[in-house]
Amino acid sequence: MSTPSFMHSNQAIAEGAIAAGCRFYAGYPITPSTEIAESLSGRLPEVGGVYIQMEDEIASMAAVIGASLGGLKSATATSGPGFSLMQENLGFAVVGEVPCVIVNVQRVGPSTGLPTKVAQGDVMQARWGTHGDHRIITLYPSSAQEAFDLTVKAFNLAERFRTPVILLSDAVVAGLLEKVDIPDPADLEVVSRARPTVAPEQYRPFDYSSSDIPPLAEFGSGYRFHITGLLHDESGAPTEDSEVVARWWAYMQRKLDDHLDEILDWDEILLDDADTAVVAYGCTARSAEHAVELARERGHRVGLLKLKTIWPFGDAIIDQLADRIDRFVVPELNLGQIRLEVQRVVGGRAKVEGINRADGLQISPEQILDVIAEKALA
Amino acid sequence: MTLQTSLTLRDYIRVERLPTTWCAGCGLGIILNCIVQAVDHRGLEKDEVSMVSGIGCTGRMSGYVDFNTIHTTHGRAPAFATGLKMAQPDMTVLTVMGDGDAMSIGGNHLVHAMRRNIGMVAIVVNNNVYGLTGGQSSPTTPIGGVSTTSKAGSIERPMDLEALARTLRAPFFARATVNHTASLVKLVERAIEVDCFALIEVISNCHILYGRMNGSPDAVDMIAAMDSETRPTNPALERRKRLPLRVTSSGTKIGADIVDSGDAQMEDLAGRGVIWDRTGSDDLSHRYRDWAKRQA
Repeated sequence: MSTPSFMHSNQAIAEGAIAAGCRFYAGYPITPSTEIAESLSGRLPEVGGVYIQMEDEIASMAAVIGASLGGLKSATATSGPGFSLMQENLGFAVVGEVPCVIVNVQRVGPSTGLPTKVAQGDVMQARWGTHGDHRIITLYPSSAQEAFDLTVKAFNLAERFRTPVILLSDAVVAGLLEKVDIPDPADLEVVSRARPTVAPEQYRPFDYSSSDIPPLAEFGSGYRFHITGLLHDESGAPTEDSEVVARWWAYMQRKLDDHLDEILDWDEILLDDADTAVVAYGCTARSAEHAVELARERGHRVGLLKLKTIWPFGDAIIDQLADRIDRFVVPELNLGQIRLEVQRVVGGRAKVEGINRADGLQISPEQILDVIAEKALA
Repeated sequence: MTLQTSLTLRDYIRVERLPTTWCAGCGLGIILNCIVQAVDHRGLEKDEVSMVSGIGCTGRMSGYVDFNTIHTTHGRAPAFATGLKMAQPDMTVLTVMGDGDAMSIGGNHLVHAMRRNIGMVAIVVNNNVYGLTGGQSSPTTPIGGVSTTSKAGSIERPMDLEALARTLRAPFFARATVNHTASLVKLVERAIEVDCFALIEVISNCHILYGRMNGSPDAVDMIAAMDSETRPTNPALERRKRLPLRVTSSGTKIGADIVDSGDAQMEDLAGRGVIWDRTGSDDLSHRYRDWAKRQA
């Protein structure tokens, strides 16, 4: 059973957050993400949660981490300039292994850019925005339904892996008004962080010697511990011991790399017999899907790989395709951020072409179709 | 210090994390001591207490206390504490910052935590200098103060935390020094009790960096000067010889709001450094949660 309704993607993100158990939101108004804050300012109190508008995005991210340590599933939403400000404390959440969700509804940058126009220019910022090496999870919906579903998944992954999860969206996806099926709570998989079961004196909040993710105690539950942005040992104590730090790096990599089957999400559309694959995500995947339909009508053997998990990058998916695909076409509203990833994995086995613009306009299905048809004739 | 107090203190300290990173004679150890005494006097369970700190010498304090502790990013401690307090309105949140942490990089967060009246004990340790990075001038380096980045003496006007707190209507403001430990303990106790945004400025010493550059390289001399060179501006307090001290740049009379209240505890606290105490309203975290409960 589910309840269908029409809503904008930004509202679907808010509803997804509520359904996933989010009970704290801190944010700062910024176009084109503001509807998420507006929705949650009303919805959270209805379910006993707290919405607070902070003084800026730095503070928003800080409050989200504080509330998560207090035991509440927590989130914030922003757009490019605000996402830049969040990078400092996003790094803290990575190092401190604090579950939280950060939504970035992209607009054209850099800087203030084109505040109301669509772009996908923050894909690499999502990956590498905070300083220092790290792993991160980033999801990206292309419809209102996916906005709901991937928001739930973002919270689930954050709780499961004790990590910040970024949900990218864009100004076009945000504005979609579409049907969204909201499952009954009983039918929805909702993951909550593992809590410690050992005696408090035995609790090691950063026990990265274990094979799985260490449980996270909430403050006030009897498991007192220290959390710091300094690199730390398994107890949370700051350390400069290079052996401990090396152990920490190994853990930080394997904690996501060993679980890609739980993290990676993608759709393959008409790829079975294809010689050309369009790789797309977010609003561009919508144009790409239509372009593939038009190209099929014209007899081109083309399919679509729609990425829903952007980071970690789905190397294995591209790798498999590269053995049987002649051409990859990667339309993006940036100057080729994911195209370079595709090229890296393809490694010369197939042609990789980008269709790129960052002028505030969308890539149309016809623009993609032209590239598919032109090269097929040549 | 009595033996009994020492034993009590040990219970609140992560002894395995000692020694601290602080220099010998640093006022931060004194302040840490006073804070845990106050928690002990209030009879709080350690599970009920959080310490949230920023970056700098003061920022290290949270690592040494056996509470729920967060060593946050530079200047952001009040914002982290705001989120934590929203999740756990009944928790006693001690937010500990240095002068550069609180008033420079974290100025915006401090201002808005005050404005919102988020329930926390906000302790700003003011030693007039950036210590951990090696003695650069801070927002409270006085005019003429020598630092590694103001070798001929600072020419900037220092920030007046009291004036800021008054403007933002912080419900509680007090000042103590590391020379006045009994008062500081009482002030922190009161700040915990009122459960609103309670701000305490603690004048501390950085004899190693600031002192050496400004003619007072000895911790004892520097701390002694906190007694001899500070004075109450309110005659009623002068008579009592118990000092919160310090003439502020705004000329505010210390204890002026409450010294004649007729309330013995209030007058005692005024004598110890409470500059105003207009507490009584709920902090914002309880108001948010109560509102949510009514909606739900």
